[in-house]
Amino acid sequence: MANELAMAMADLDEEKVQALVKAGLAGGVDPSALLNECREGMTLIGQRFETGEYYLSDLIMAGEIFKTAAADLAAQGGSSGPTKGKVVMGTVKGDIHDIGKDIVVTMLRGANYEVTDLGVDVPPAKFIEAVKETGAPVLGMSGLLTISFDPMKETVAALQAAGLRGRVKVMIGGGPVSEQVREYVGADALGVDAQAAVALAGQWLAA
Amino acid sequence: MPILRDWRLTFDQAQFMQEYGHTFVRILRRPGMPEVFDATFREIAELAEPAVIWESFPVQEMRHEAVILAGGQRIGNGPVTTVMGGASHLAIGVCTVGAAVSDRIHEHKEAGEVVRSMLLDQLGTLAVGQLSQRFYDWLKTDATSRGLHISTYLSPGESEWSVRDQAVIFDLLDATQIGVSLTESLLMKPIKSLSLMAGIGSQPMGVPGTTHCDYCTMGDRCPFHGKHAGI
Ligand code: B12
Ligand code: SF4
Repeated sequence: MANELAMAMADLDEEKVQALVKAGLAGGVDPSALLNECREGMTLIGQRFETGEYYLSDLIMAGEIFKTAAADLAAQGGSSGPTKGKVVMGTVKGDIHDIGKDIVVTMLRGANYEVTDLGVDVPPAKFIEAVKETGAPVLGMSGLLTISFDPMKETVAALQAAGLRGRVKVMIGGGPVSEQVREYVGADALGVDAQAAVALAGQWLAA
Repeated sequence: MPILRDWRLTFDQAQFMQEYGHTFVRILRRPGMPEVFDATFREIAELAEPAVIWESFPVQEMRHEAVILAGGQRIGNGPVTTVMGGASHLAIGVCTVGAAVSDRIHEHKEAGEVVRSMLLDQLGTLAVGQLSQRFYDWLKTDATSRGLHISTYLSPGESEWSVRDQAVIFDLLDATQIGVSLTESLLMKPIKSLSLMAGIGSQPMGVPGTTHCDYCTMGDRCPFHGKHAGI
Protein backbone atom coordinates (compact mmCIF):
# COMPACT_ATOMS: atom_id res chain seq x y z
CA MET A 1 0.00 0.00 0.00
CA ALA A 2 2.75 2.41 1.05
CA ASN A 3 4.44 3.02 -2.26
CA GLU A 4 1.32 2.36 -4.21
CA LEU A 5 -0.28 5.66 -3.20
CA ALA A 6 2.81 7.71 -4.03
CA MET A 7 3.00 5.95 -7.40
CA ALA A 8 -0.70 6.45 -8.12
CA MET A 9 -0.23 10.14 -7.34
CA ALA A 10 2.85 10.31 -9.54
CA ASP A 11 0.96 8.57 -12.35
CA LEU A 12 -1.87 11.09 -11.90
CA ASP A 13 -4.28 8.20 -11.47
CA GLU A 14 -6.96 10.15 -9.67
CA GLU A 15 -9.38 7.28 -9.14
CA LYS A 16 -6.67 5.11 -7.70
CA VAL A 17 -5.47 7.88 -5.38
CA GLN A 18 -8.99 8.34 -4.07
CA ALA A 19 -9.54 4.61 -3.70
CA LEU A 20 -6.23 4.08 -1.88
CA VAL A 21 -6.87 7.01 0.46
CA LYS A 22 -10.32 5.63 1.22
CA ALA A 23 -9.05 2.08 1.71
CA GLY A 24 -6.16 3.32 3.84
CA LEU A 25 -8.42 5.29 6.14
CA ALA A 26 -10.88 2.40 6.38
CA GLY A 27 -8.00 0.08 7.22
CA GLY A 28 -6.86 2.35 10.04
CA VAL A 29 -3.72 3.69 8.36
CA ASP A 30 -2.55 6.95 9.91
CA PRO A 31 -3.90 9.80 7.73
CA SER A 32 -0.63 11.68 8.20
CA ALA A 33 1.29 8.77 6.70
CA LEU A 34 -1.07 8.78 3.73
CA LEU A 35 -0.58 12.51 3.28
CA ASN A 36 3.17 12.08 3.24
CA GLU A 37 2.76 9.42 0.57
CA CYS A 38 0.88 11.91 -1.56
CA ARG A 39 3.67 14.44 -1.07
CA GLU A 40 6.21 11.86 -2.18
CA GLY A 41 4.11 11.46 -5.31
CA MET A 42 4.25 15.22 -5.88
CA THR A 43 8.04 15.12 -5.73
CA LEU A 44 8.07 12.41 -8.39
CA ILE A 45 5.72 14.52 -10.51
CA GLY A 46 8.14 17.45 -10.30
CA GLN A 47 10.93 15.17 -11.44
CA ARG A 48 8.88 13.93 -14.37
CA PHE A 49 8.17 17.52 -15.40
CA GLU A 50 11.85 18.29 -15.24
CA THR A 51 12.70 15.43 -17.57
CA GLY A 52 10.04 16.50 -20.06
CA GLU A 53 7.79 13.50 -19.45
CA TYR A 54 5.12 15.70 -17.88
CA TYR A 55 3.68 18.99 -19.09
CA LEU A 56 2.20 22.09 -17.54
CA SER A 57 -1.29 20.57 -17.65
CA ASP A 58 -0.01 17.58 -15.67
CA LEU A 59 1.31 19.83 -12.92
CA ILE A 60 -2.01 21.60 -12.73
CA MET A 61 -3.82 18.29 -12.55
CA ALA A 62 -1.41 17.09 -9.86
CA GLY A 63 -2.18 20.21 -7.83
CA GLU A 64 -5.90 19.46 -8.09
CA ILE A 65 -5.62 15.79 -7.14
CA PHE A 66 -3.34 16.64 -4.27
CA LYS A 67 -5.63 19.38 -3.00
CA THR A 68 -8.62 17.01 -2.86
CA ALA A 69 -6.67 14.17 -1.23
CA ALA A 70 -5.05 16.51 1.29
CA ALA A 71 -8.42 18.01 2.22
CA ASP A 72 -9.93 14.52 2.75
CA LEU A 73 -6.98 13.45 4.87
CA ALA A 74 -6.89 16.68 6.86
CA ALA A 75 -10.57 16.14 7.65
CA GLN A 76 -9.57 12.82 9.22
CA GLY A 77 -6.90 14.50 11.30
CA GLY A 78 -4.08 13.96 8.82
CA SER A 79 -1.14 16.29 9.02
CA SER A 80 2.41 16.05 7.79
CA GLY A 81 3.56 17.41 11.08
CA PRO A 82 5.46 20.64 11.02
CA THR A 83 6.21 21.91 7.53
CA LYS A 84 9.74 21.71 6.18
CA GLY A 85 10.01 25.48 6.47
CA LYS A 86 8.76 28.80 5.21
CA VAL A 87 9.25 30.35 1.79
CA VAL A 88 8.11 33.74 0.52
CA MET A 89 7.41 33.85 -3.24
CA GLY A 90 6.30 36.47 -5.71
CA THR A 91 6.66 37.90 -9.22
CA VAL A 92 8.68 41.09 -9.00
CA LYS A 93 7.52 44.67 -9.50
CA GLY A 94 6.70 45.60 -13.06
CA ASP A 95 5.99 42.03 -14.11
CA ILE A 96 2.64 40.27 -14.07
CA HIS A 97 3.61 36.83 -15.41
CA ASP A 98 2.29 34.29 -12.96
CA ILE A 99 2.13 30.86 -14.59
CA GLY A 100 5.71 29.88 -13.75
CA LYS A 101 5.50 31.36 -10.26
CA ASP A 102 2.23 29.51 -9.58
CA ILE A 103 3.82 26.21 -10.58
CA VAL A 104 6.74 26.84 -8.23
CA VAL A 105 4.30 27.65 -5.39
CA THR A 106 2.24 24.48 -6.06
CA MET A 107 5.30 22.25 -6.10
CA LEU A 108 6.77 23.81 -2.94
CA ARG A 109 3.47 23.40 -1.13
CA GLY A 110 3.21 19.85 -2.41
CA ALA A 111 6.65 19.19 -0.93
CA ASN A 112 5.38 20.47 2.45
CA TYR A 113 6.81 23.97 2.52
CA GLU A 114 4.70 26.76 3.95
CA VAL A 115 4.60 29.28 1.13
CA THR A 116 3.48 32.89 1.38
CA ASP A 117 2.49 33.78 -2.18
CA LEU A 118 2.58 37.55 -2.63
CA GLY A 119 1.20 37.41 -6.18
CA VAL A 120 2.48 39.56 -9.03
CA ASP A 121 3.96 43.06 -9.38
CA VAL A 122 5.45 42.82 -5.88
CA PRO A 123 7.59 45.82 -4.82
CA PRO A 124 10.77 45.22 -2.76
CA ALA A 125 9.19 46.65 0.42
CA LYS A 126 6.41 44.06 0.28
CA PHE A 127 8.92 41.21 -0.01
CA ILE A 128 10.83 42.57 3.00
CA GLU A 129 7.65 42.98 5.03
CA ALA A 130 6.61 39.38 4.31
CA VAL A 131 10.06 38.01 5.14
CA LYS A 132 9.99 39.91 8.45
CA GLU A 133 6.44 38.89 9.29
CA THR A 134 6.82 35.21 8.49
CA GLY A 135 10.45 34.85 9.49
CA ALA A 136 10.95 32.86 6.26
CA PRO A 137 14.57 31.97 5.61
CA VAL A 138 13.98 31.57 1.86
CA LEU A 139 12.79 34.16 -0.63
CA GLY A 140 11.91 33.25 -4.23
CA MET A 141 11.46 35.84 -6.96
CA SER A 142 10.08 35.19 -10.40
CA GLY A 143 10.47 37.45 -13.43
CA LEU A 144 10.12 36.91 -17.17
CA LEU A 145 11.29 40.27 -18.40
CA THR A 146 14.82 41.63 -18.59
CA ILE A 147 13.30 44.67 -16.99
CA SER A 148 12.53 42.45 -13.95
CA PHE A 149 16.19 42.10 -13.09
CA ASP A 150 16.49 45.54 -11.50
CA PRO A 151 13.59 45.03 -9.08
CA MET A 152 15.19 41.69 -8.14
CA LYS A 153 18.46 43.47 -7.44
CA GLU A 154 16.65 46.19 -5.48
CA THR A 155 14.92 43.55 -3.36
CA VAL A 156 18.24 41.91 -2.52
CA ALA A 157 19.64 45.34 -1.63
CA ALA A 158 16.58 46.05 0.53
CA LEU A 159 17.12 42.75 2.37
CA GLN A 160 20.67 43.84 3.01
CA ALA A 161 19.58 47.26 4.21
CA ALA A 162 17.06 45.67 6.57
CA GLY A 163 19.84 43.53 8.04
CA LEU A 164 18.13 40.35 6.80
CA ARG A 165 20.46 39.26 4.02
CA GLY A 166 22.53 37.10 6.36
CA ARG A 167 19.61 34.90 7.34
CA VAL A 168 17.62 34.83 4.08
CA LYS A 169 18.61 32.79 1.06
CA VAL A 170 17.40 34.19 -2.25
CA MET A 171 16.48 32.19 -5.34
CA ILE A 172 15.35 33.62 -8.65
CA GLY A 173 13.77 32.11 -11.75
CA GLY A 174 11.78 32.78 -14.92
CA GLY A 175 12.39 32.19 -18.65
CA PRO A 176 15.28 34.57 -19.39
CA VAL A 177 17.06 34.36 -16.02
CA SER A 178 20.64 33.17 -16.36
CA GLU A 179 23.79 32.80 -14.28
CA GLN A 180 24.90 36.32 -15.30
CA VAL A 181 21.54 37.62 -14.11
CA ARG A 182 21.94 35.81 -10.80
CA GLU A 183 25.30 37.46 -10.35
CA TYR A 184 23.94 40.88 -11.30
CA VAL A 185 21.01 40.54 -8.92
CA GLY A 186 23.12 39.15 -6.08
CA ALA A 187 20.87 36.14 -5.52
CA ASP A 188 22.19 32.94 -3.98
CA ALA A 189 20.87 30.67 -6.69
CA LEU A 190 18.86 30.50 -9.86
CA GLY A 191 16.35 27.76 -10.52
CA VAL A 192 15.46 26.67 -14.02
CA ASP A 193 12.20 25.06 -13.00
CA ALA A 194 9.91 24.28 -10.08
CA GLN A 195 11.84 21.15 -9.20
CA ALA A 196 14.97 23.25 -8.83
CA ALA A 197 13.06 25.53 -6.45
CA VAL A 198 12.10 22.53 -4.31
CA ALA A 199 15.66 21.22 -4.36
CA LEU A 200 17.10 24.60 -3.36
CA ALA A 201 14.63 25.04 -0.52
CA GLY A 202 15.46 21.51 0.64
CA GLN A 203 19.16 22.19 0.54
CA TRP A 204 18.90 25.48 2.43
CA LEU A 205 16.32 24.47 4.99
CA ALA A 206 18.04 21.21 5.82
CA ALA A 207 21.27 23.08 6.54
CA MET B 1 -2.99 55.54 -38.56
CA PRO B 2 -4.61 52.37 -39.93
CA ILE B 3 -6.52 50.11 -37.57
CA LEU B 4 -7.41 46.62 -38.74
CA ARG B 5 -10.11 44.72 -36.92
CA ASP B 6 -11.54 42.39 -39.49
CA TRP B 7 -9.54 39.28 -38.61
CA ARG B 8 -11.13 35.89 -38.61
CA LEU B 9 -8.96 33.96 -36.23
CA THR B 10 -9.47 30.23 -36.38
CA PHE B 11 -9.69 28.13 -33.27
CA ASP B 12 -9.67 24.68 -34.76
CA GLN B 13 -9.81 22.27 -31.84
CA ALA B 14 -8.89 19.23 -33.93
CA GLN B 15 -5.82 20.95 -35.32
CA PHE B 16 -4.86 22.19 -31.88
CA MET B 17 -5.09 18.67 -30.49
CA GLN B 18 -2.96 17.39 -33.32
CA GLU B 19 -0.25 19.87 -32.44
CA TYR B 20 -0.53 20.01 -28.66
CA GLY B 21 -2.71 17.01 -27.75
CA HIS B 22 0.27 15.07 -26.39
CA THR B 23 0.60 17.67 -23.62
CA PHE B 24 -2.98 17.08 -22.45
CA VAL B 25 -3.31 13.30 -22.62
CA ARG B 26 -3.58 12.71 -18.88
CA ILE B 27 -5.69 15.70 -17.96
CA LEU B 28 -8.22 14.79 -20.66
CA ARG B 29 -8.83 11.49 -18.89
CA ARG B 30 -10.33 13.38 -15.95
CA PRO B 31 -14.10 13.27 -15.88
CA GLY B 32 -15.59 16.45 -17.30
CA MET B 33 -12.35 17.62 -18.91
CA PRO B 34 -13.30 17.13 -22.58
CA GLU B 35 -16.31 19.35 -21.84
CA VAL B 36 -14.05 21.96 -20.21
CA PHE B 37 -11.88 21.92 -23.33
CA ASP B 38 -14.90 22.34 -25.62
CA ALA B 39 -16.21 25.19 -23.49
CA THR B 40 -12.84 26.96 -23.43
CA PHE B 41 -12.53 26.76 -27.20
CA ARG B 42 -15.95 28.37 -27.48
CA GLU B 43 -14.88 30.94 -24.92
CA ILE B 44 -11.75 32.06 -26.78
CA ALA B 45 -13.72 32.38 -30.01
CA GLU B 46 -16.28 34.55 -28.22
CA LEU B 47 -13.90 36.68 -26.21
CA ALA B 48 -11.06 37.38 -28.63
CA GLU B 49 -11.32 40.85 -30.11
CA PRO B 50 -8.41 40.93 -32.52
CA ALA B 51 -7.15 44.36 -33.48
CA VAL B 52 -3.99 45.74 -35.04
CA ILE B 53 -2.78 49.32 -35.21
CA TRP B 54 0.07 49.97 -37.56
CA GLU B 55 1.87 52.45 -39.75
CA SER B 56 4.58 52.44 -42.37
CA PHE B 57 7.44 54.80 -41.48
CA PRO B 58 9.96 56.03 -44.07
CA VAL B 59 13.59 55.31 -43.20
CA GLN B 60 16.00 58.21 -43.29
CA GLU B 61 19.18 56.38 -42.46
CA MET B 62 20.15 52.83 -41.64
CA ARG B 63 23.05 52.92 -39.19
CA HIS B 64 24.85 49.90 -37.88
CA GLU B 65 23.41 50.26 -34.38
CA ALA B 66 19.97 51.69 -35.17
CA VAL B 67 17.54 52.88 -37.80
CA ILE B 68 16.79 56.59 -38.01
CA LEU B 69 13.27 57.28 -39.22
CA ALA B 70 12.36 60.28 -41.34
CA GLY B 71 10.73 61.81 -38.26
CA GLY B 72 14.08 61.64 -36.44
CA GLN B 73 13.17 58.74 -34.12
CA ARG B 74 15.79 56.06 -33.49
CA ILE B 75 14.60 52.49 -33.41
CA GLY B 76 16.08 49.03 -33.41
CA ASN B 77 19.37 47.63 -32.20
CA GLY B 78 20.53 44.02 -32.01
CA PRO B 79 19.71 42.14 -35.21
CA VAL B 80 17.37 44.80 -36.62
CA THR B 81 19.78 46.22 -39.17
CA THR B 82 20.94 42.74 -40.18
CA VAL B 83 17.35 41.65 -40.78
CA MET B 84 15.97 44.89 -42.22
CA GLY B 85 19.06 46.49 -43.80
CA GLY B 86 18.12 48.02 -47.16
CA ALA B 87 14.52 48.76 -46.17
CA SER B 88 13.03 52.03 -47.37
CA HIS B 89 10.19 51.79 -44.86
CA LEU B 90 9.55 50.07 -41.56
CA ALA B 91 6.08 48.65 -40.96
CA ILE B 92 5.45 48.78 -37.22
CA GLY B 93 2.38 47.33 -35.55
CA VAL B 94 0.81 46.44 -32.23
CA CYS B 95 -1.52 43.42 -32.19
CA THR B 96 -3.91 42.46 -29.41
CA VAL B 97 -6.71 40.01 -28.75
CA GLY B 98 -8.17 42.42 -26.22
CA ALA B 99 -8.76 42.67 -22.49
CA ALA B 100 -11.74 40.32 -22.22
CA VAL B 101 -9.53 37.25 -22.65
CA SER B 102 -7.13 38.31 -19.89
CA ASP B 103 -9.98 39.31 -17.60
CA ARG B 104 -11.61 35.91 -18.00
CA ILE B 105 -8.32 34.06 -17.38
CA HIS B 106 -8.05 35.97 -14.12
CA GLU B 107 -11.68 35.29 -13.20
CA HIS B 108 -11.28 31.55 -13.75
CA LYS B 109 -8.17 31.53 -11.61
CA GLU B 110 -9.86 33.45 -8.81
CA ALA B 111 -12.79 31.02 -8.96
CA GLY B 112 -10.40 28.09 -8.56
CA GLU B 113 -11.02 26.93 -12.15
CA VAL B 114 -7.33 26.39 -12.70
CA VAL B 115 -7.57 24.09 -15.70
CA ARG B 116 -9.83 26.46 -17.53
CA SER B 117 -7.63 29.39 -16.63
CA MET B 118 -4.52 27.59 -17.90
CA LEU B 119 -6.14 26.50 -21.14
CA LEU B 120 -7.63 29.90 -21.91
CA ASP B 121 -4.23 31.44 -21.18
CA GLN B 122 -2.60 29.14 -23.66
CA LEU B 123 -5.30 29.72 -26.27
CA GLY B 124 -4.98 33.48 -25.75
CA THR B 125 -1.25 33.28 -26.35
CA LEU B 126 -1.78 31.24 -29.49
CA ALA B 127 -4.47 33.67 -30.64
CA VAL B 128 -2.21 36.70 -30.45
CA GLY B 129 0.55 34.68 -32.11
CA GLN B 130 -1.83 33.78 -34.90
CA LEU B 131 -2.94 37.40 -35.22
CA SER B 132 0.62 38.68 -35.54
CA GLN B 133 1.34 36.06 -38.20
CA ARG B 134 -1.83 36.99 -40.10
CA PHE B 135 -0.93 40.66 -39.90
CA TYR B 136 2.55 39.90 -41.20
CA ASP B 137 1.10 37.82 -44.06
CA TRP B 138 -1.23 40.72 -44.86
CA LEU B 139 1.74 43.13 -44.98
CA LYS B 140 3.57 40.70 -47.23
CA THR B 141 0.67 40.41 -49.67
CA ASP B 142 0.36 44.18 -49.73
CA ALA B 143 4.10 44.67 -50.36
CA THR B 144 4.18 42.00 -53.06
CA SER B 145 1.19 43.55 -54.84
CA ARG B 146 3.22 46.77 -55.05
CA GLY B 147 6.29 44.94 -56.38
CA LEU B 148 8.12 45.31 -53.06
CA HIS B 149 9.85 42.92 -50.67
CA ILE B 150 9.38 42.41 -46.94
CA SER B 151 11.90 41.21 -44.35
CA THR B 152 11.06 38.76 -41.60
CA TYR B 153 9.56 40.45 -38.53
CA LEU B 154 11.08 41.02 -35.13
CA SER B 155 9.60 42.03 -31.79
CA PRO B 156 11.55 44.15 -29.30
CA GLY B 157 12.75 42.18 -26.31
CA GLU B 158 12.76 38.78 -27.98
CA SER B 159 16.23 39.10 -29.45
CA GLU B 160 19.13 41.41 -28.61
CA TRP B 161 16.81 44.16 -29.82
CA SER B 162 16.01 45.78 -26.48
CA VAL B 163 12.53 45.69 -25.00
CA ARG B 164 13.15 49.38 -24.20
CA ASP B 165 12.16 50.17 -27.78
CA GLN B 166 8.60 49.39 -26.75
CA ALA B 167 8.59 53.02 -25.57
CA VAL B 168 9.57 54.21 -29.07
CA ILE B 169 6.86 52.07 -30.67
CA PHE B 170 4.24 53.46 -28.31
CA ASP B 171 5.39 57.00 -29.16
CA LEU B 172 4.99 56.24 -32.84
CA LEU B 173 1.63 54.48 -32.57
CA ASP B 174 -1.35 55.55 -30.52
CA ALA B 175 -2.19 52.02 -29.45
CA THR B 176 -4.77 53.25 -26.95
CA GLN B 177 -7.04 53.38 -30.00
CA ILE B 178 -7.12 49.59 -29.86
CA GLY B 179 -7.14 49.55 -26.06
CA VAL B 180 -3.45 48.77 -25.54
CA SER B 181 -1.26 50.78 -23.19
CA LEU B 182 2.32 50.47 -22.01
CA THR B 183 3.14 50.31 -18.31
CA GLU B 184 6.17 51.97 -16.73
CA SER B 185 7.93 48.62 -16.85
CA LEU B 186 7.23 48.43 -20.59
CA LEU B 187 4.62 45.73 -20.31
CA MET B 188 1.68 45.99 -22.66
CA LYS B 189 -1.77 45.77 -21.16
CA PRO B 190 -3.78 43.71 -22.00
CA ILE B 191 -1.10 41.07 -21.71
CA LYS B 192 -2.14 39.10 -24.79
CA SER B 193 -0.55 41.68 -27.07
CA LEU B 194 2.50 41.68 -29.31
CA SER B 195 4.42 44.40 -31.11
CA LEU B 196 6.37 43.79 -34.27
CA MET B 197 8.32 45.44 -37.02
CA ALA B 198 9.34 44.44 -40.55
CA GLY B 199 11.33 46.18 -43.27
CA ILE B 200 9.79 46.98 -46.65
CA GLY B 201 12.06 47.66 -49.62
CA SER B 202 12.68 47.21 -53.30
CA GLN B 203 15.27 44.42 -52.73
CA PRO B 204 15.15 41.24 -50.63
CA MET B 205 16.43 41.78 -47.06
CA GLY B 206 18.04 39.63 -44.38
CA VAL B 207 18.79 35.93 -44.48
CA PRO B 208 16.18 34.00 -46.48
CA GLY B 209 14.19 31.46 -44.51
CA THR B 210 14.90 32.86 -41.05
CA THR B 211 12.15 33.88 -38.61
CA HIS B 212 12.08 35.91 -35.39
CA CYS B 213 12.74 32.68 -33.45
CA ASP B 214 16.13 32.37 -35.15
CA TYR B 215 17.19 35.66 -33.54
CA CYS B 216 15.62 35.00 -30.15
CA THR B 217 17.78 34.91 -27.05
CA MET B 218 15.79 31.97 -25.63
CA GLY B 219 16.90 29.75 -28.51
CA ASP B 220 16.32 26.07 -27.89
CA ARG B 221 15.46 26.70 -24.25
CA CYS B 222 12.06 27.91 -25.39
CA PRO B 223 9.43 25.16 -25.64
CA PHE B 224 7.48 27.33 -28.07
CA HIS B 225 10.38 27.79 -30.49
CA GLY B 226 8.92 28.29 -33.93
CA LYS B 227 5.39 27.79 -32.67
CA HIS B 228 4.31 31.26 -31.57
CA ALA B 229 1.98 31.58 -34.48
CA GLY B 230 -1.38 30.07 -34.95
CA ILE B 231 -3.56 27.23 -33.85
C1 B12 C 1 4.06 32.85 -23.99
C2 B12 C 1 4.91 34.10 -24.07
C3 B12 C 1 4.26 35.30 -24.37
C4 B12 C 1 2.76 35.44 -24.52
C5 B12 C 1 2.06 35.88 -23.24
C6 B12 C 1 2.47 35.19 -22.00
C7 B12 C 1 1.43 35.34 -20.90
N1 B12 C 1 1.82 35.19 -19.71
O1 B12 C 1 0.31 35.58 -21.15
C8 B12 C 1 2.65 36.59 -25.53
C9 B12 C 1 2.68 35.97 -26.91
C10 B12 C 1 1.45 37.48 -25.44
C11 B12 C 1 3.97 37.32 -25.25
C12 B12 C 1 4.19 38.63 -25.56
C13 B12 C 1 5.40 39.28 -25.36
N2 B12 C 1 6.54 38.71 -24.97
CO1 B12 C 1 6.69 36.90 -24.39
N3 B12 C 1 7.06 35.12 -23.98
C14 B12 C 1 6.31 34.06 -23.85
C15 B12 C 1 7.18 32.83 -23.63
C16 B12 C 1 7.34 32.15 -24.99
C17 B12 C 1 6.70 31.81 -22.62
C18 B12 C 1 6.34 32.32 -21.21
C19 B12 C 1 5.65 31.24 -20.43
O2 B12 C 1 4.44 31.26 -20.28
N4 B12 C 1 6.39 30.25 -19.96
C20 B12 C 1 5.86 29.09 -19.26
C21 B12 C 1 6.20 29.11 -17.77
C22 B12 C 1 5.72 27.82 -17.13
O3 B12 C 1 7.60 29.19 -17.66
P1 B12 C 1 8.33 30.21 -16.70
O4 B12 C 1 7.47 31.36 -16.37
O5 B12 C 1 9.67 30.50 -17.24
O6 B12 C 1 8.48 29.41 -15.31
C23 B12 C 1 9.24 28.23 -15.13
C24 B12 C 1 10.72 28.46 -14.81
O7 B12 C 1 11.27 29.64 -15.36
C25 B12 C 1 10.81 28.40 -13.31
N5 B12 C 1 10.57 29.60 -12.52
C26 B12 C 1 9.75 30.65 -12.74
N6 B12 C 1 9.78 31.50 -11.72
C27 B12 C 1 10.63 31.01 -10.81
C28 B12 C 1 11.04 31.50 -9.58
C29 B12 C 1 11.98 30.77 -8.84
C30 B12 C 1 12.42 31.29 -7.53
C31 B12 C 1 12.53 29.56 -9.36
C32 B12 C 1 13.55 28.84 -8.60
C33 B12 C 1 12.11 29.07 -10.60
C34 B12 C 1 11.17 29.79 -11.30
O8 B12 C 1 9.82 27.46 -12.97
C35 B12 C 1 8.70 27.56 -13.87
C36 B12 C 1 8.14 26.19 -14.07
O9 B12 C 1 9.08 25.31 -14.62
C37 B12 C 1 8.51 33.51 -23.13
C38 B12 C 1 9.75 32.75 -23.48
C39 B12 C 1 9.99 31.58 -22.56
N7 B12 C 1 10.16 30.44 -23.13
O10 B12 C 1 9.98 31.73 -21.34
C40 B12 C 1 8.46 34.87 -23.83
C41 B12 C 1 9.07 36.09 -23.16
C42 B12 C 1 8.65 36.17 -21.71
N8 B12 C 1 8.46 37.19 -23.89
C43 B12 C 1 9.25 38.15 -24.14
C44 B12 C 1 8.89 39.33 -24.83
C45 B12 C 1 10.00 40.28 -25.19
C46 B12 C 1 7.57 39.60 -25.16
C47 B12 C 1 7.06 40.89 -25.79
C48 B12 C 1 7.62 42.18 -25.19
C49 B12 C 1 7.32 40.87 -27.31
C50 B12 C 1 6.78 42.09 -28.01
N9 B12 C 1 7.63 43.02 -28.33
O11 B12 C 1 5.61 42.18 -28.25
C51 B12 C 1 5.54 40.75 -25.55
C52 B12 C 1 5.14 41.48 -24.31
C53 B12 C 1 3.70 41.25 -23.96
C54 B12 C 1 3.20 42.32 -23.09
N10 B12 C 1 1.96 42.22 -22.74
O12 B12 C 1 3.87 43.29 -22.80
C55 B12 C 1 10.65 37.89 -23.60
C56 B12 C 1 10.95 38.73 -22.37
C57 B12 C 1 12.40 39.03 -22.25
C58 B12 C 1 12.70 40.47 -22.08
N11 B12 C 1 13.58 40.92 -22.90
O13 B12 C 1 12.21 41.16 -21.26
C59 B12 C 1 10.61 36.34 -23.37
C60 B12 C 1 11.43 35.80 -22.21
C61 B12 C 1 11.12 35.74 -24.68
C62 B12 C 1 12.54 36.07 -24.98
N12 B12 C 1 12.87 35.99 -26.18
O14 B12 C 1 13.39 36.41 -24.22
N13 B12 C 1 4.88 36.49 -24.67
S1 SF4 D 1 12.01 31.12 -29.39
FE1 SF4 D 1 10.22 31.24 -28.04
S2 SF4 D 1 10.35 33.24 -27.00
FE2 SF4 D 1 11.75 33.27 -28.74
S3 SF4 D 1 10.59 34.25 -30.38
FE3 SF4 D 1 10.36 32.02 -30.62
S4 SF4 D 1 8.51 31.47 -29.46
FE4 SF4 D 1 9.10 33.59 -28.82
